[in-house]
Amino acid sequence: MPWFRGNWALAGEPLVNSAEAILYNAAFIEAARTAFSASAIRPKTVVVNVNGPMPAGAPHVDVPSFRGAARDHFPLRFLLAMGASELFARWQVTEAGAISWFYEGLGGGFDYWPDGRDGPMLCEQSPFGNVAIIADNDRMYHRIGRIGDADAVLPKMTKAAVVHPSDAGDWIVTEDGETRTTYAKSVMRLSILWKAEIITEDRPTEAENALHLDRIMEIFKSDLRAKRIQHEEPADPFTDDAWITLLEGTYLRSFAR
Amino acid sequence: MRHVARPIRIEPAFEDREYVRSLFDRHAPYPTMAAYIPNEI
Repeated sequence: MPWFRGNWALAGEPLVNSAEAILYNAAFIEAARTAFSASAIRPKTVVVNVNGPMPAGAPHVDVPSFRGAARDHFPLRFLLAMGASELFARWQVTEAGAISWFYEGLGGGFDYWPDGRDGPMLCEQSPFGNVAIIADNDRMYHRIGRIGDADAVLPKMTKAAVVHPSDAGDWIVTEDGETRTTYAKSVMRLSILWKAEIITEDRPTEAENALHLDRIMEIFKSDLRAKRIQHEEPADPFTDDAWITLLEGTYLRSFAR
Repeated sequence: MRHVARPIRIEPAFEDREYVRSLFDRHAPYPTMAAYIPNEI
């Protein structure tokens, strides 16, 4: 899939020149304050996506993080199950996400479900102007709409490929020194994702910050017992596929669209 | 249902949109998304 990414700022630190101008974008910060009734905003992340023609992505929520449980130490599927279960809401780190696009081609809209998966889908469509949507993308379902023609041929490439612009303005996908494909500038969808931690007046107490694996498992198992769902103690809750699959089957509903 | 902040549309998103667009060229090349995903179940 021709989906490429760059990290311009992580953990509040700019990684490339001029990233701080985006990290501290006043319009994003003010919108986050309003949307989330925040007392403080901590900009954390600026990532960019460069997408060639490709099918629509799956509706999804972003991987959540919790005080004491984040992707640096916890598997992504485990974190997604924690979020979907709603058992760990008071530990969840709330993040505002702003997305903006540079694309005037066919499709490539930003589809989102502000009223939940059973509500109507809204779409911010190409041609994109100087706009962004800010939302709680850890809780709001969203996806990239199909980009380009439905019969677009996907390039033959592995995850080792990279994309870069040419002097002529095209975008070239290369791997092992070979050109895999060349895209005209007009068919490449560029986007920026900004994320910031939201601080509200009702932040958790220090005691509630103490989320660790034993407590997470205690909470999960208690809920499974209450639901009368049989389960076996996993040897390693992070790598036991049966355990992870049980959590996903219990808490993650499929998106019926 | 958990409370989810209502999305807000921001316009204008950037003071200088063309400058932001130019950063994409400046900071290339870009690896695939798959290259960032850790190997896990």
